[in-house]
Amino acid sequence: MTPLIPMAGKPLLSINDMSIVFTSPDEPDIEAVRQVDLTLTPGKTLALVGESGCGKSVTARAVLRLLDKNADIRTGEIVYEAEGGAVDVVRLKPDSLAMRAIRGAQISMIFQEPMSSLSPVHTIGNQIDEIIVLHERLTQKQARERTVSLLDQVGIPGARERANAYPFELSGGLRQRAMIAMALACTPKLLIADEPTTALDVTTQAQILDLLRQLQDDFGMAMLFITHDLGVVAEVADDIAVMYLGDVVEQGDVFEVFKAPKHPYTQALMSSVPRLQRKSERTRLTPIKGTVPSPKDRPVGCAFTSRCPHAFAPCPTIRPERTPVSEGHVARCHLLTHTKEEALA
Amino acid sequence: MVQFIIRRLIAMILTLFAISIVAFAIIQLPPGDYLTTYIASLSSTGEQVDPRVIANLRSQYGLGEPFYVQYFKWIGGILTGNFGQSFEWKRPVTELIWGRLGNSMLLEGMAVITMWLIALPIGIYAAVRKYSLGDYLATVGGFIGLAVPNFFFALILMYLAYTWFGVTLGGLFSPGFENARWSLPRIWDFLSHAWAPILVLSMAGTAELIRILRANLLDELKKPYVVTARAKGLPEWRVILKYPVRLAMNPLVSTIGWLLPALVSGSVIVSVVLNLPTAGPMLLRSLTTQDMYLAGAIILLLSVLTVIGTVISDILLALIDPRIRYGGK
Repeated sequence: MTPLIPMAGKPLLSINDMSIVFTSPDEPDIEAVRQVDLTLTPGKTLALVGESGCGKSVTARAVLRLLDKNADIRTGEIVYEAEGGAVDVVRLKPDSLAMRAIRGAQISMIFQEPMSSLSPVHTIGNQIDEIIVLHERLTQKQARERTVSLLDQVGIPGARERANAYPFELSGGLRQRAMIAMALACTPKLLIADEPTTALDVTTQAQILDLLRQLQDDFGMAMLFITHDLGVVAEVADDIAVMYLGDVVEQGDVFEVFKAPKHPYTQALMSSVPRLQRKSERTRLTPIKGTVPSPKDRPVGCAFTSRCPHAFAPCPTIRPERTPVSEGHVARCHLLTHTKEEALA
Repeated sequence: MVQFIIRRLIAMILTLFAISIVAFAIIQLPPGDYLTTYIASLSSTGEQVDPRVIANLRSQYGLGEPFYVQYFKWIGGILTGNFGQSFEWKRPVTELIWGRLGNSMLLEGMAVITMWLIALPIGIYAAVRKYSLGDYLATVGGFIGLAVPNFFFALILMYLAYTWFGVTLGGLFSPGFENARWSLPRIWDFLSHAWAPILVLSMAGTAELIRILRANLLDELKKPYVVTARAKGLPEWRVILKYPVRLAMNPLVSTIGWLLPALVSGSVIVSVVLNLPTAGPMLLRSLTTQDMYLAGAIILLLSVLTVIGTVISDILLALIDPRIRYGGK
């Protein structure tokens, strides 16, 4: 496999001002994702971080148009730089030929639960062959050869025999490796990993992360990595985007954001990560007070208002703008645009 | 896999043995035996029966002997292909039942196939287009199919066929073909008679199958592996047919086995109404006259068919579901 040298800087996929609404016949609409702007570049990993239910997975699935029928992308665009020119994925029909040509071939996805995300009654090989035959017009036999070499590449021992194994015959780690092999089968330009290590134990987790990093070097693909584990972020990400209740509140270079988080939510997240310390030096963790409000009760202004220790006058009513903090680091917080005196007043 | 089949076969033989005992016990349950019924019917017409003739008959059939002696006499005969003599028909049971059982199996087998052919596409459609007009129609139709008794449906069908087309439904063959050998015209004659009973017999089952398939498929459609298949870029219909439908079918395959007995017992009244030469009416008659060897043979053979059907559906299930084949989770 020759590594594809990415053209640095040119975005592969950009999500601009996207909002996603879930409709229901007997309840008011719920805006799961309010305003998301993300940019993915070849060879780089963007980690999308946030609590459960903040809209991370919904955002990721929107890129492949895999959302349920009751989800509606109300505003915004998802521009994918395909070989033949830019495509706005939002304009494509979910089951259209154009969308299906992107799925699996250009953009592919790894899911959280390697057990339930693979069909229990089809062999691993069958499930991987299928995607190769579909997109690459190879014969069944050639596809199987490719499958075996992929399984080998993701570190599954005895790949040729394992191709005939069923998912329940493999361990969780091997299953996730098979899932990764499937996602990489057609050398996609973008890999979306939706909490790929959450269901695995810590040792396996580390192995899978190493594997993903190494494969990214080999294939040169962009990666959108969804997680709620800041330790995982530190290990894999180049950039980070922090989501809270459907809003991206802060994003930028991972070191920059980790070193100097600007949004109170990001700051609170950082201070709630336990550190290894001597017993005498240990202090209690400072959890974020309160609980996440339901999207129905979300303030019109900044979503974090109800839990923010610094909340002041404009917060509940006015949505903060994207404010550049430094090179490539932006946050949405009124504290950045208002002076301290105003905040304290 | 071979081990699996062998285990199943051993279990099958043990089950059959148990069934034969139960079947024989049930035949023996009503007080008296064929001869008491026989004497009663004779004396009701005013005829006198010589007690010595009765005693002779009794010892000839072993009717006075204890249960287990009678049982071993009976089962020993069956193992050598002798099902005994029908008291009522005065002919060997073997001569009487094969044609009837053959008709039953043919009709019910075709009813099962019809059920699946109709229920599969409708069930899949109803699940995939949940709450659409088609789904509601399938639901309403399904409930009607479940609620209307089969024999009543048969009567309606007979009435409609007679008033609209002047055709009398009933029987399986035209008089000329009744005892003829199988040939193309006879098959045609059979099919032109059999469509009505097949339709009637498969109706309730079809309705049930649609409901179960829809429910199973709705569960499976929510599973993450469906999203995975979509994320591969497969067209929607291939996603649905290859993955969730395949898994939704598994529990249905295991029901093939017990569809048979349900059909047989359900078909008795239909067979009477439609005047079908199947095993059901003969079983009913032999039970009321305490014609025990005939009744025993029919019950036993139906049980054997059921058990074999179950074994076949088990093996089918193991073939399509590797989790069962390998004894996995």
